[in-house]
Amino acid sequence: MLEIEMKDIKKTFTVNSARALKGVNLCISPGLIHGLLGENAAGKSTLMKILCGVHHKDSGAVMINGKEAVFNTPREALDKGIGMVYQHFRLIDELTVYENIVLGNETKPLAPFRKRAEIARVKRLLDNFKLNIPINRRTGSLSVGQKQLVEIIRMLYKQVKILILDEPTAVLSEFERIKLFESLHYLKEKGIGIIFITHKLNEATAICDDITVLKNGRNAYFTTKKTFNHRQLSLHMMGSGIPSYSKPQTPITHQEQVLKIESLSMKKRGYHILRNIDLIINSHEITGIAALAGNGQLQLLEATFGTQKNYSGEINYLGRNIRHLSTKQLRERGMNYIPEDRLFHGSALGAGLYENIVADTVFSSPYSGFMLLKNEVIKKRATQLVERYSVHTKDITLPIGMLSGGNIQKAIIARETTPPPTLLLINEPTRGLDSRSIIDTYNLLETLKQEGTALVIASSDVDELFRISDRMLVMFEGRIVYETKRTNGKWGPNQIKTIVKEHMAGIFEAHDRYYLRTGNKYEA
Amino acid sequence: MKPKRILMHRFLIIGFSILTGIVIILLTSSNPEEAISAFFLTPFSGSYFFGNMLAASIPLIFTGLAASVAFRAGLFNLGIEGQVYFGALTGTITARHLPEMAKFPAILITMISAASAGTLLTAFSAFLKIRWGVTELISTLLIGYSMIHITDFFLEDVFLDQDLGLIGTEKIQESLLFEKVLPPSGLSTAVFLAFGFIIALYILQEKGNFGLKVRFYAENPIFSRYIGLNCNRIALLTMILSGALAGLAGIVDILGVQERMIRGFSSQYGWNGIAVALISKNNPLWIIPAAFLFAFLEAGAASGSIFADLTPEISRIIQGVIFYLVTAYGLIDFLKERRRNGNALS
Repeated sequence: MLEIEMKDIKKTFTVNSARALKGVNLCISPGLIHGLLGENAAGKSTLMKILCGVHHKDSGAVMINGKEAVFNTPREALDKGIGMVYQHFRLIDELTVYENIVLGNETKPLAPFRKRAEIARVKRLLDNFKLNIPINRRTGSLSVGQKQLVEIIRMLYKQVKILILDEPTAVLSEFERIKLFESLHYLKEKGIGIIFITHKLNEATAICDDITVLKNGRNAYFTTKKTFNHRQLSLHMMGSGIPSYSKPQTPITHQEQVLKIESLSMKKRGYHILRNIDLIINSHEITGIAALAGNGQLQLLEATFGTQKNYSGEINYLGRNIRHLSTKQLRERGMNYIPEDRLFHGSALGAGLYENIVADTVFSSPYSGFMLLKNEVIKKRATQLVERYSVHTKDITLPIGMLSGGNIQKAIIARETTPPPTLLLINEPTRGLDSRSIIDTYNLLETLKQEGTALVIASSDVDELFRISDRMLVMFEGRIVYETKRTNGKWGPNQIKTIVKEHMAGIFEAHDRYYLRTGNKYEA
Repeated sequence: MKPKRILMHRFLIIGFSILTGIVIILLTSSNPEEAISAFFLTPFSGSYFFGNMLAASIPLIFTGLAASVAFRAGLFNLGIEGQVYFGALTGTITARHLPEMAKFPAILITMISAASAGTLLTAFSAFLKIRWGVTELISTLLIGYSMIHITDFFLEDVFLDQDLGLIGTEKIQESLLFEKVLPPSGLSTAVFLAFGFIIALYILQEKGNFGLKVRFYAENPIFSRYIGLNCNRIALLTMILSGALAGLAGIVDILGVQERMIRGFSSQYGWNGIAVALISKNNPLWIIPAAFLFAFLEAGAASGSIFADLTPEISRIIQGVIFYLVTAYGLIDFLKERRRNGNALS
C-alpha cells in the first residue's frame, strides 16, 4: 500500500524556459482512482513524469507514506512501486507476451524451475484480467486494447502499487474501453492506487473517485465522487466561455465530383485489407468513415494519397487515374492528408516547428529560389500560421518534438489546411486535442467544406462523426458495410448511432454471420 | 547548449586529451622534455613542418566532408578508403593520357574523372539499397575493401612505372600539378580548393533546399515521403555526392603532394575522415579544425619518432588516446541529444 503526496512541485524546462509546473499538490491513496484533468499543455504529463522519475523537479517534495523520496531514474521509481503506462506503448513487437512482461526483471539467470514459477505467475496475471492469449504469442500481433492490458500486467508483474495511465482510452474502441474500465475496477479492489490522465470529462466522472484539475501548471480544482459536476469541472478546465459546436445548416447547392474509387482491393500476405470498394467523394461535403482501428480505413486513405500502390482497381482524382502520380504531384493538385500518427508520420520531430509547419510547400516559391531556402519568408509564414492556429510555443525554431502532442497536431492541421485543399483526407482528426481545440478544428473543417473542399474523415469516434459529417460510411474488415447521410441537416432514425456502432463491430444482418465466424476466408 | 559553451567544452576536452598525451610521454620517455617538444611543437616549427601538416589535412577535409554528407542523411559510407584509392588511380591515369591542352580544363577533367570513379562505387551501393534493400553500410564497406585490392592489381600489373623504386605510376605532367604555396613544404593551392568545397557544402546543407530535404529524410523517411519528397532520389544523390568527395580527396592529394599514384599513399584518409566527421558533428565549418587536429597528430607522431626517443608505437598510443577522448566527447553529445529528443517524444 502506498500513499503518495506531491507537495508544491515546480518545474521549468531549460530548453525553452517554459514554466510547466508552478507549484502543484497532489495526493494519491491506495485503492482509489484519481483523475488528472486538464487541457493540452496544462502540465499533467510533466507532473506524472516527475512522479515516475523521467523528469526531475526543481523544487517541492514527493512523500511516500510520509517519508520524502527522490527518484533519479524511472527504475528507482519502479523499485518503489510507481509505474506508468504511456500513451505510446513501450512494448517490443518482436518479443512474446511473456518476454515483454518479464523484460527488465530477468536479472538472475533463470533456473528452469524458477522459470516455470515465473511462467505460472504471468499466466495467473493474464487470467486475472480475463486476457485469453497464449503467453508465447508475438506482441506485435495483438490488438491495441490487448497491448494496453499487457502493459498494465507488465507493471503489476513489477509489483507496482501506484499505476499511472496516460490518456489510456485515446486509442481504444468503445468495447476495449469498457474492458479497460473493468480491469481498473479489479485493480482498485486489490488496493492499487491509479492515476488516470485524461481530458474527457465523462470518462473521468464515470470511473474516478477523486479528480484534480490542472490549468497552466497550477491546481485549479479538486473534487470527490459525491460532488462531481460536469459544469464545474469543465469550467475549471477551460475557464469561462465553454465552447460548444453545432453544425451550421447551410444548404449546399452545387457539388462536383472530386474522387472516384472503383472496385479498390488490396491484399497483404494473403490477407484482404480492402475488398471491392466503390466510392465517390464530392466537393462541399464532409464524408465520415466510421471504423475501428485496423479495418482498412488507413490503407484506403494511403492508397488515395499515393503512398501505397499495391492495390487493384482504379482511383480517379479530378478525372485522372492516380496510379502513376506521385504524392508530390497529388499534393500539387490540391490533395492533402492529416495522418493518424502525428509523431512518426506527420512530423519530423527533430526539425524545427517552422520547418515542419510549411514542409509541404517549402521547396517551391516563394519559400525557396535558386535551390536556396528563404528563411525570412519561411519564418514569417510560420509565425502567421502559429498565431492563426494558436500553436503554443515560445520559439518557432524549437524542434517540433519539444511541443506537447496537442500542439504538434495543431501544427499538422495548420500545414495541411493552408491553402484550402481540393480534397482533404483525415485520419482521427482530434485525437489528443483538448475540447477547445476540438471545437476549433470542427469549425475549421466546416469552413473548408463551405469553401468547396471535399473532406474524408476516418475516425473511430462515432459521436464525433455524427457531429461533423454530412454523410457517413462504415468500414469493417476492408469493406464498406453501411452508408447513411443527413437529410435536411438531420440524421435518419433515432437508433442510427446504434446501427452504425453495430456495423463497426461487425454485427450486421444474418446472411453475413457466416462471414463473421470464418473471418477472411469468406469471398463475396 | 549555447554555441559558446560548446566551443569552450570542446577546447577543454582537447586540452585535457593533450595533457593525457604529455603524461604518457612522461611515463615512457627517458628525455620527456625533448619528446614533448618533438611531438607537440615540431609540427609548428617552421614553414616546412607547418606546411606539410596543412597539406596532410587537405585530403582529410575531403574525406571528412564525404563521410558527413552521408551521415547527415542517416546513411553510411564506410568505403571511403577504397573510393579515395580508386579515384586517385582513375584520376592519375586520365591525367597521364590527356592530350595537350590548357591547364585549367585539364585539371578539371582529371578531377571530374576521379570524382566519377568514387561516385560509381557509391551509386552502385545506393542502387543496391533502393532496388533490393541492401544495407549501404555493408555494401560500401565490402566494395570499398575489394576496390583497394583491385586498384592495387592495376597499379602493379598495368600502370606500373618500371623505373621507379616504388610501386607507382609514372609521374603526372608538371603542368597539371597544383602550385606549391609554402615551399619547401608540400602545401599547394589545393588548400583553397578545400576551403571552396567547405563553403559550397555549408551553403548547400545549411541554406539550400537539398540540406533541408536531407534533414527531413534523415529524421523520418515516412514523413518525407508523405510530404512529397522522393526518398530514393535523396539517398542516391547523397551517396553520389559522398563518393565524389571521396574520389576528389584522392586526386587532390596526388596532384598536390604525391605527384603520381603510389601504392598505399592513402594513410587511412578514409577511416580518419569518418572520425573527422564524427568530431565535427557533420558541420562543414567544424571539419576544418577537426581535420587539422588529425593532421597535427599524424605530424606529431612522425616527428616524435624522428627527433626523439618516442617509438612509432608510443606515438600511435598518444595519438589513439587523444583520438578516443575527442571522439568520445562527440559521442557524449550524440547520446545527450538522443536522450533529449527521446524525452521530448514521450
